[in-house]
Amino acid sequence: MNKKRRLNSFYLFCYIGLLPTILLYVIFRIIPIADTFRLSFYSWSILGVGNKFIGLGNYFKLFQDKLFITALVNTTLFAILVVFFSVVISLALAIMLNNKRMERFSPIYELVYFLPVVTPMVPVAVMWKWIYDPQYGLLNYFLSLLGISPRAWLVYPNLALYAIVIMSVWKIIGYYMMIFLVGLKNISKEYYEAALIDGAVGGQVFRYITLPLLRPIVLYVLVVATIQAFNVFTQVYVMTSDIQGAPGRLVRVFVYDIYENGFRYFKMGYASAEAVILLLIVLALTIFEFRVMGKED
Amino acid sequence: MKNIRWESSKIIIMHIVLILGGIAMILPFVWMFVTSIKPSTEVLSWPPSFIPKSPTWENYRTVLQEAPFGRYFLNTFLISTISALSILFTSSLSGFIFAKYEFPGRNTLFLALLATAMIPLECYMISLYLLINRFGWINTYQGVVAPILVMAFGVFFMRQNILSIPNELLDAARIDGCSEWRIYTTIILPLSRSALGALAIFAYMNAWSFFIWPLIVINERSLYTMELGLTIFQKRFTVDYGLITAGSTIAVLPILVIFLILRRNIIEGVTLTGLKG
Amino acid sequence: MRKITLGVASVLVLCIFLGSAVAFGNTKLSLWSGYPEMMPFYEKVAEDYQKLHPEVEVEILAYNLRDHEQKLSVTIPTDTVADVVEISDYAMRKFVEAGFIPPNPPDIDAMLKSGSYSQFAIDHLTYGSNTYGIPLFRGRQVMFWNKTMFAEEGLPGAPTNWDEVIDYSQKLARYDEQGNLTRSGISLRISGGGSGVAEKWWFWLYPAGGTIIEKCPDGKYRAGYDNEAGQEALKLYIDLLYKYHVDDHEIKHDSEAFALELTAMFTRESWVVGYMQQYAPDVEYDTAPLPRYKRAGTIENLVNIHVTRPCKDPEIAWDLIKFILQPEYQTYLFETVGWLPARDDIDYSPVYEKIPQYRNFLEIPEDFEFFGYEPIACFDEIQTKLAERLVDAFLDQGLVDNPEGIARVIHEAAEETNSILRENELYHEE
Repeated sequence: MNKKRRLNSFYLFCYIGLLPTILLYVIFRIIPIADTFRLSFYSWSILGVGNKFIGLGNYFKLFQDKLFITALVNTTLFAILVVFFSVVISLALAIMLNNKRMERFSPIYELVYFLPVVTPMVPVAVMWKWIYDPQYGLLNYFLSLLGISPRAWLVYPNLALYAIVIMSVWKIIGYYMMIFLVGLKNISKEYYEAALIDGAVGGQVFRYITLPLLRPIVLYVLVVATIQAFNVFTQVYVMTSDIQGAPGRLVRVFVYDIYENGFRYFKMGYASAEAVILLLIVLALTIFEFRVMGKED
Repeated sequence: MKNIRWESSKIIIMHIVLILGGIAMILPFVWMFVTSIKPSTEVLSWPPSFIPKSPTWENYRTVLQEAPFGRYFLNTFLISTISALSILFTSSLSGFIFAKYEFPGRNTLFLALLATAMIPLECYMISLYLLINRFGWINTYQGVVAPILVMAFGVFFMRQNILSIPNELLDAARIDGCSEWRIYTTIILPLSRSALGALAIFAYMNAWSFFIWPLIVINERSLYTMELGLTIFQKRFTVDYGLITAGSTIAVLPILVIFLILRRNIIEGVTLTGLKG
Repeated sequence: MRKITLGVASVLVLCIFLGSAVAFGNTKLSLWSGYPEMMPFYEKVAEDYQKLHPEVEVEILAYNLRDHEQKLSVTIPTDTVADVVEISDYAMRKFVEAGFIPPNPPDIDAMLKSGSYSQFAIDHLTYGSNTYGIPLFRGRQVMFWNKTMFAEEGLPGAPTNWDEVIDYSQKLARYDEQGNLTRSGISLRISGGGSGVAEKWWFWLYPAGGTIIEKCPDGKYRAGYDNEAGQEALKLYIDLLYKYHVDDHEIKHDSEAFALELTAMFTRESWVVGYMQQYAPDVEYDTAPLPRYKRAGTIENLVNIHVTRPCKDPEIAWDLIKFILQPEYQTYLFETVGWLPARDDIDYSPVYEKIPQYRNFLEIPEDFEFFGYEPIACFDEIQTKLAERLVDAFLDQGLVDNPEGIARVIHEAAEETNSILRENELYHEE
């Protein structure tokens, strides 16, 4: 009947509706990012000295750069650990808080778990440096109760990585927890009522109703967590900054390496090539996650 | 009988776990506040103490006097609100379109949008700065808020949430003669209230703690955000612990208030039965 | 819906209100500093200047040094920078060489060479046939030592040579029953981000006869530590850490440790004096020149003040700068902020009366030499990469009594330094 007109009004709505968003993106994101792509093929400094086209030169140099490889390995390991633990823990928390009997207490818990997300980084870093302190730190204290000997968490390379992982998980679980809560609340009670009528029991409800219906949200958290983990920077920067008297060991991550190359050594082209590689890795992982989790109902 | 006891003990276990976790969550925040009310001579104690011997509001007085934090607060509030409003609008509309409409290029466009979030601002900041400079927007409100008018994660988030809204609802509205825009305003938006509330919090949070861009774009005190204002307490080699914790507490409080206000929006889930009529 | 429109409207009104704050008629000068602790100083000077020149408005913004340098790296090349900028010469060098900074006007150039400033300063601020900037304050390193702890061990004062460093720190260190270090004899800089580890190591490298990079007659450079001096300096750290165990990775370090009396001595700049006054006023300590070995010296880091290219009123800006550099303000800077004033032609003894620990910063023994960051753009990269290698070396217990191991570490680090120089076309080929 009016199918063609309907389709046209659909398309009109889509394209016009998307217009403001796309416009903003193109101007403030796509153009600068595309420029970064372009710069990755140059030896470029904002000082305008010695800028020249070098094709894939930066990329070749990167893979021979020991620091870059370290950053790559560290960031990947970091991401695997952080994504896994933060997603699992925050999902568990959300499920707990979603329980009907928790309703009264939920606001307080939510606030408490959200606190780390909003607390500014500098006081957080100072506090965690204390928690990780070899002599009087809380972490070693608790470990000693379990019979584990104290360690210098922020000094040795592997330990420092785990220390940053723990701190990063701590900082973000409130955030993902809120997202899961939103998703859980949106699952209509009707589904649960129907399941109850059919005689389903706790675990079954979770597996066959909650989890599948939560899938879009789980995909969201997975993708966002992956992207944020690969982009980690502030924690590392502040924890090991040379400001605070007793500095910790640097855990070299992707964005730190990019930052150092771009802003301290002024090798913008080199840093841009690194950024491109970061983008490609994260893009690949994201597409993979979409394939696995993205089958919408 | 047995069922109820198991249910009760499950709840108690949950509380224990949540409280233990909660202590870990709240510890740094408590330390931050406690340090902010300590005088300088007490700040450096080892091991750190949680109870100040002679608490004082001196740090807060200094922070509020040394810099026009009222103005900084207004600036930050303005920028965050504009950012949040813009993000809420663009994300909900775009999220809706990506979730419920099929059109050529949809998936590629969506992925491209998401991809822009995969590179942190630090990486393309200089290119963006040169662009903003060409607009003449250095040291202006527009210049500061430009990069945070949209949030790729916001679009993604709204899309995922709107996916779960049944298509039957939309079709029914269309049969009733609703235009697409009215579907958006009268069905999608109300049903997404909780997601919008959460998104608003995230957008505010993001904008509130926005640092590196305001740092390079703002060149005069009257435009300072709170985060920028706080850096003055980070001296070359040391951090003025008392002052910076006081400043950080002042900076954090508004976000917590916004969180509590918006939270109510989030947690009221929406039942579809109410709308079927 | 209506509520939202109301909200948006009020936000827009707020926008217009806040955006419309404009002042007419006055000359506005902006000054950026990388040292927030200098704010009280700048504010006082600006206030006094504005009293004399009411038609000039001075706004001062201070940032943490890293943020400051980052901001400058974007604003200087785009001419969006403040009128007056305070920055170290070696950080400014790359901008000078790229042509973004105007040279000093003749009267400033004359002032710089008038004898108020050292030859060291003049050399570092010269590029080609011009000078750029003029020093405001500087940083030098001395040895801070805890008088109470030293008296306890019957030690006369801070160590004056390396043997005494080893001997004293052994006597001053304290351990618990398990053998853990509870008080370090000396607090070395052995970990942390940035280039600090390399800089502090330099203070031992130099007396041993080496330096980070040495300038060759043709104006090019090469690594100056791939020799006995470098190996001895590394060996000193390794021995202090593992052979004598007077410092380790677990105990607290730096100024915080000194304030908490967890260490007996350490090397740092003059800001520690103000720090101690504020956080640990009861600790009895003093300063002393850095220990000597085959020679003696201390680092000098100049922080200078420049007028930038986009400044619309350079004469007024330079006038303000000359005002800031007056003797009374140099003394005021010294007393209130604690950084060392840059002018050599002022008598600072009134300051020493009030704060005796400052004396050793400016009254230097005759045979002390000054060394500083070489004014080449890649020096930061060289130091930072060297620092990373040193951090790893300091964790390597296998370097104890292992001269080949130490030599290898030093040599590999020097190779990297040289390749960075080569990349920047500054390497002196043999």
